[in-house]
Amino acid sequence: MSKVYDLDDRSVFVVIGSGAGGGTLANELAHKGVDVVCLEAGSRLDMSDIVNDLNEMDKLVGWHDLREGSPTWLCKTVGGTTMRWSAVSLRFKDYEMKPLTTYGKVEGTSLIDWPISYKELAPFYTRAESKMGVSGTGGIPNSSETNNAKVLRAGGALAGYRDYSTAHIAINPEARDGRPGCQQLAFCFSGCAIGAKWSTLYTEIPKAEETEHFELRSESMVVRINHNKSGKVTGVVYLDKNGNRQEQKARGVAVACNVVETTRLLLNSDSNLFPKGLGNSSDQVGRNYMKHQHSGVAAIMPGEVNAHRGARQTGLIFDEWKHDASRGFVSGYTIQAMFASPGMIAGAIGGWGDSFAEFISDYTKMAYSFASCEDLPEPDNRITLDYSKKDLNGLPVPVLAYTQHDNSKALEEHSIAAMTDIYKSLGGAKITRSYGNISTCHNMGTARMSENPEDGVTNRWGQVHDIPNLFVSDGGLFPSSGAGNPTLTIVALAIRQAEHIASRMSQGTL
Amino acid sequence: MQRFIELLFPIEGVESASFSTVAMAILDNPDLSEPINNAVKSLNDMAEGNWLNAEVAAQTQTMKAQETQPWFVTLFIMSRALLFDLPDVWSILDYEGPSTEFGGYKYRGFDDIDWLPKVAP
Repeated sequence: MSKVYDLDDRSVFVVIGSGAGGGTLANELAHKGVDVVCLEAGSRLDMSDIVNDLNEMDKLVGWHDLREGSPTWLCKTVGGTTMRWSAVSLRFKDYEMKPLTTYGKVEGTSLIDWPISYKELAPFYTRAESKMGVSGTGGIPNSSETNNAKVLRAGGALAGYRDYSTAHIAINPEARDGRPGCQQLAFCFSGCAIGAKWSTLYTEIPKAEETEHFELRSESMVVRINHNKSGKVTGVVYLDKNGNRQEQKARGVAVACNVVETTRLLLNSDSNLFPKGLGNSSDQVGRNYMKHQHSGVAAIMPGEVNAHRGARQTGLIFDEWKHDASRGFVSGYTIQAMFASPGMIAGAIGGWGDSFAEFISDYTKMAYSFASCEDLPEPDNRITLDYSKKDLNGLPVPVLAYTQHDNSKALEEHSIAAMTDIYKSLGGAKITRSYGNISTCHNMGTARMSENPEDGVTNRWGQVHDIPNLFVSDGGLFPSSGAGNPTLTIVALAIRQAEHIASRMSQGTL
Repeated sequence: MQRFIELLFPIEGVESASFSTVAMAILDNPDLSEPINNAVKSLNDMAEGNWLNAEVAAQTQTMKAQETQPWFVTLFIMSRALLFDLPDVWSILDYEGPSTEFGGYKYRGFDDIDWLPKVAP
């Protein structure tokens, strides 16, 4: 069973958050013999708690604390957003990790190249894919092709697209690593009831517990990170499940609270020594907040599709995932088949009245896909705190300021035209673009890695420039967003970061 | 409220009882009293005092004129979420819903599409 560490144990490494970044980092460290306390704000579900009911699951796993500004869809639960993700697992492309070099300066943006190269990250991608069981990698079969994916493939082929794949999904196509193969339950967005989809809830966390070097404390919301006079962090203050304040001492701390809450925690840990918040001497904490441009297209096809049956996402087209300045914008996009329940589809297409009713009435003939387009960093796309408004825990409310760059608008129009052509090629009708066009789940930036401390918050290891024993371990690290879904990269970075932390500890320099 | 929701989502086959269920849930939600009051006032003000008795076209036109108002957005999103969560509505749309108890859709048609033209794999 799991270890129990004393609150005054200064030898432990504290990981805040148990999702893709935190859960992975904690497990990797524990397997290297590092004593880890993982503090998670949400509760720990049993597999029997996971039901095919989006609303009920949202009550169990959703993060509903007060926020202002651009909407985002976070999770407060052991496993974090790996409970809710669609499991699309794509590597960054080499050019996407050097966007300033590739695109040049783009007005209004704060582009920088990553301080690490794709080549350096590649071995960790391989390990992440193996850990997560990503289809089509390392000898794992491709995912089964759903009806909605078949429509995308056929339409894509007729529209001239050739680079199509049913790989890159972290859902077991067949039983592997103690988890079953996909049964096409169709409720990936609310937690996989059989555990075929990778989630740290039933992979990294129990594996860490087997090491005797790990303690998970769920329902423990960290509200502050403390430091000593020299500026090194010494522990974290959290509210336990009874609402009592506790302080866990620590040798080092990693923050992996999914960008919004990571930013809030860093800013809210201000002090005389760090008056603008931890890691914020550069005034970069909270800036360069990126989401993916998610442009969706729905179409009514000539025959039944029944896209609601099966995994939410399989079927990806990569032909437009490139930088080709002749298209009138920088960067590129992936096209991804996706489908959902009537309520979610109704929300995606928006609208009301007769035309909406007519459209949704053809639900079983509907095909849907969206483009995940690279979003560029902008300094004023930013997460700040509203000190005049407090949440139930008495914490200042995060404010998410986000506007769409002209480059994103150009990507959106190009991708909408591409997906329209795909469905038209098969006789699709009533083609409707999505109502919402900004990702609500891919949060990136705000604590980005940078070679130059003035440009970012963390170094090439995700170590805060200002504070050597404080790390960030989530999508906040990304200097650019790429066009692929971020989770695989978060996991790869966490594996790499664990090696660095363990190495520094063994050398006595952390 | 029921009439308002019926005009938002005039889906053929959805019965009055379903709209009534959604309307009751909204009216019973104390958090929605402000948007409900604003809805009644705004719609009636634009319909010579009695929106409910106006012609359908006029009712819809009034709603269209108000669709960006915060009260409209709130009631629209809430009623949409409630309506499309009703199994009766799923049935009309042929949405088959929860699947774990049936072994998922693995053997129930997740890949059974048969009308697509053959293209290179």
